[in-house]
Amino acid sequence: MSCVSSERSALSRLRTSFAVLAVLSATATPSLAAAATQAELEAKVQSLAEQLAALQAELAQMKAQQSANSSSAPASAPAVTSATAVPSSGSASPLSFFGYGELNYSQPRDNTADTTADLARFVLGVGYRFDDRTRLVSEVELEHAVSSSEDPGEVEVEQAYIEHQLTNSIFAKAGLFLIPTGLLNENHEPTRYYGVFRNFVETAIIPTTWREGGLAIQGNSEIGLRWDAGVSTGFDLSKWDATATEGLESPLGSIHQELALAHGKDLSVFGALNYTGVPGLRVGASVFTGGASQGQQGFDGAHITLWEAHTRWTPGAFDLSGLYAHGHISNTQVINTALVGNPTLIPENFFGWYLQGAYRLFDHGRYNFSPFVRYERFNTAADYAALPAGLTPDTLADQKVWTTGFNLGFAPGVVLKADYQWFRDSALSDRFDLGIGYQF
Amino acid sequence: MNNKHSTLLGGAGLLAMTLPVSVVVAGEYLSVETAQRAAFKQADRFDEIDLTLNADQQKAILALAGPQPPHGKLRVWRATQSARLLGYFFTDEVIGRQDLISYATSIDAGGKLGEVEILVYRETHGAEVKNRAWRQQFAGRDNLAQLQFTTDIKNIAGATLSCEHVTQGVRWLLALWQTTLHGS
Amino acid sequence: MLGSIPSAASRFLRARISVFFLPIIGLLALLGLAGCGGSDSSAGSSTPAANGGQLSAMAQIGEKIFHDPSLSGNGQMSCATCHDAQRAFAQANPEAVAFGGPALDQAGLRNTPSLKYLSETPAFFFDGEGTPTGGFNRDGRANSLAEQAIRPFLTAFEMDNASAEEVVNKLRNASYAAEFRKLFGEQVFNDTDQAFLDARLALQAYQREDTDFYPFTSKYDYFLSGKAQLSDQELRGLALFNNPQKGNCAGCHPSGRREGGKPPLFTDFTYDNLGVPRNTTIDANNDPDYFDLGLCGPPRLDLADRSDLCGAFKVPTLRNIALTAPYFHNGKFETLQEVVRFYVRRDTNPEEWYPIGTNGLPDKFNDLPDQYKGNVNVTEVPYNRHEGDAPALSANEIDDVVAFLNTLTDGYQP
Repeated sequence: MSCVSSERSALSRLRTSFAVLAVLSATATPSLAAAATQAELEAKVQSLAEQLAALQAELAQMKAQQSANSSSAPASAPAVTSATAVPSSGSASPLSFFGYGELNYSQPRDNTADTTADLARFVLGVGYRFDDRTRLVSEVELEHAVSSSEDPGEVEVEQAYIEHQLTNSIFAKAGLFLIPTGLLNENHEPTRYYGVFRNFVETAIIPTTWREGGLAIQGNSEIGLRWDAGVSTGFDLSKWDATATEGLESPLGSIHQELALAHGKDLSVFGALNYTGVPGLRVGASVFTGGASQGQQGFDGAHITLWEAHTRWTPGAFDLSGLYAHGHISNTQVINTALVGNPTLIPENFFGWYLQGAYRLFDHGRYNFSPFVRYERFNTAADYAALPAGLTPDTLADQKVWTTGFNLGFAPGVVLKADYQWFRDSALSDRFDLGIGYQF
Repeated sequence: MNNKHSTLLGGAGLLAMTLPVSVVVAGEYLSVETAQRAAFKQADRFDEIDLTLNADQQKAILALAGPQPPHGKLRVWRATQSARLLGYFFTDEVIGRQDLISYATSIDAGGKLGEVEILVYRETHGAEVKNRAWRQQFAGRDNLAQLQFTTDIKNIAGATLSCEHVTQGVRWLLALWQTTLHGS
Repeated sequence: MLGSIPSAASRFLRARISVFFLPIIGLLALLGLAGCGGSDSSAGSSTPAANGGQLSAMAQIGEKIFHDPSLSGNGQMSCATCHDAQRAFAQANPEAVAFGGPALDQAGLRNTPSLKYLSETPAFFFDGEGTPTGGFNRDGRANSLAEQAIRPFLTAFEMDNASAEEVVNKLRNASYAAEFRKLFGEQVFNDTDQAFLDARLALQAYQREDTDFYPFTSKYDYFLSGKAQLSDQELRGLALFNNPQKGNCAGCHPSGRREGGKPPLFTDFTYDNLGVPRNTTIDANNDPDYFDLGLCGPPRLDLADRSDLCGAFKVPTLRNIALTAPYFHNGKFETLQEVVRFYVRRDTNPEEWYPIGTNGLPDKFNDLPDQYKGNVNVTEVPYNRHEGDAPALSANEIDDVVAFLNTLTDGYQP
């Protein structure tokens, strides 16, 4: 089975000879006694020198051969074909494709006429490696299947950034990228979360998938600490539509700019820390803050800050996670006074948290089955700045959602999901959901 | 030559093997040689072997190892000390999220896994797979039943694909050893 | 020979980059960019035709034409006669309509609309949902200010010129004729149609460039830009104005800043059919078979077959509304109090608005023939109530709304 590479043995012989020579030169001291032994040594040195010269020539010849071969595929690398189910990609092509998709079906209990089936997301991504340190990551998303002026769908570029590796552990990013926050924002594929729909806290409070354009740096240390920092575009409070309900559903989701001719006068900064040094445990927090007036009249001094903390722990077959997120918008009193009477004024504070537990009940070969339960509590308008003349809007009651269901994986990257959700103090009706998701 | 000289020569020979390999350890990529020597400190030879598997062998390995991500290049060395087999040293590549992750591990003569080292990691997604604590989960295990992902080998939330694929790769290597290399 | 492992040299170099300082320094530098912008706001903003101070030559001629009575049949009427600058360029006389013709005693058909804040009105069109939008005049039949200027020159009960040629002849003899020739060409008066068009283009330029037509100097404008405060009552009025369940006025008269931070125009350029009671003081209404049907005409002709649009009139701006009494296309109401009361009590108390018919019941929507009474808007707040319901606004709330409407008058001193 094993064969010895001739190149290697020639090298090791050469090294040995050098070593001998080095040792000999170090030990060839005048303290050697008899002249007879000296003559012997000289003879040996002579023969070694000849051998050395021969080996040198051989090595030089092989090196020449090798440099002729090295431009092609790496030398004596045996290609191990690991079976038909797992194609070998060899030395990877610089172009890579990836994507994910989600289809769901949702039946509200109180109004079955609103039962909806939807191709929620169809995402295609392209990666391209420019050189060993620089690559492009890009992602395009189509929501709700058909996008036109009369259809509900939307096409958007979710990511498009250049990633450049500065050192073994530090990367820089420039472009449109995901903000490192929460548990879901950077890992939002359907195979990465439990339940047919993404949880409310990470859609209404943290506007997953939240991306901004700018510059970011990420570092990873071997002890398990990951840090992120960056400067990016932020929010534009003048996009707040006080006549519509979008702001009540997701305050930040209704005013994000998505790098679509975004105002760049007020940039935001963000930072995140995540610790994964203990296998199976992740603890982290992040903050994002910046001006939101973008120099526009009537929005002076508006500033938005979102911070959150999260954890995920997987002891045994359990998968437990928790997250708390809080958003704050400053200087809303003046802006709201001008908008007074409209149904959706700008809140000063909004927050949400959830606790989730899943258990991997079954995991063999290609099948895995994990039931889960999740409790969420959030409020998209927990607090309004006081307005004159008794016109301060009423705050909302915290919405509470219980979700229970399961994820069933039946192939790598494919998951079938089902869940039931109970709502309290919410405009939404309890509902039964089914979904299928894939990621490649 | 007398014994004193041969011992000196042998020692110097070993020393001289370090000359062509320059290493910068902390914060830099691990070279194959460094990883080899870290895995088998007593080895005096690493001989790369040409591995070709027939269809039956591949099937047997997959049956043991389970689903596999796309693999890149695999290289296998026999680590010997004075012609006595110490174990096998592997470098393998598995897909992370989009790029190949180059990693190395070893299996000793008794079938125990050594440490897993990440040699090349080129994307931000899943870079946590380089965490020492995560990689050390593999060391000392010799049974595929101990290498179940998420239960035995914990996941790092946010690096799931990379962790899963490296785990699957290591499982494949152990299955390879158990079916094909063991006893050769 | 070691495959994809990078060369020793580059590894060595990379270790020497001071990787911990680089991102921190870079970040600090970039933080300097992330400062908040504070901008100095001032009331009034530029509309597309804004001019710094000096009017263009064409607009100056337009201004002269606007104020030139010699361009009328009897030599006594100019645009300014009915569009009085002191009354927001709406009519100065208190009657429902303006009077013109040779003796200045022939009644018009509709209340003279204000010429202020018109320059951003789009040409008439049907939007994606079929909603009629835009156009000039109360029925939108002119597609530009230049087009709108045709009618008053040539209508018998207005400026009473027999033809465009007559207007052009008068232009030829105007005091500014030489300037006119200089701008539009020495031979311009030889081509009647061209000269008439040029005159109207000059009028359009004047209305677009002169900030008298869009000063944005109301108390509300200063409030929006933070230079003035509204009183509690005015603020309550604004809240009721905006509240879709109370006044819902902002539904057609938007009060919020427009895109780009531009101040609101208080109209969405659409049309509405309010079923305003018939105004018997208008001479034309002496004929019981005469009905002014707005979009479906007459005098508008192109939508005559759109019977669903009969009775709908343009949503005007509410800026300077305190100056432009009487109100609605037929000048039926003389005070803002009455207008707001009508909106909320039209359906709850129709007897307050319509004459009692032969059957003892109020003759609702008596300014529409029977077949079009169904076109009246009865679905939008606040006129979606029924007899016996409580009106959407109480008496105090009506006062609050009127107080707010009074903040929309230009010329406020902050």
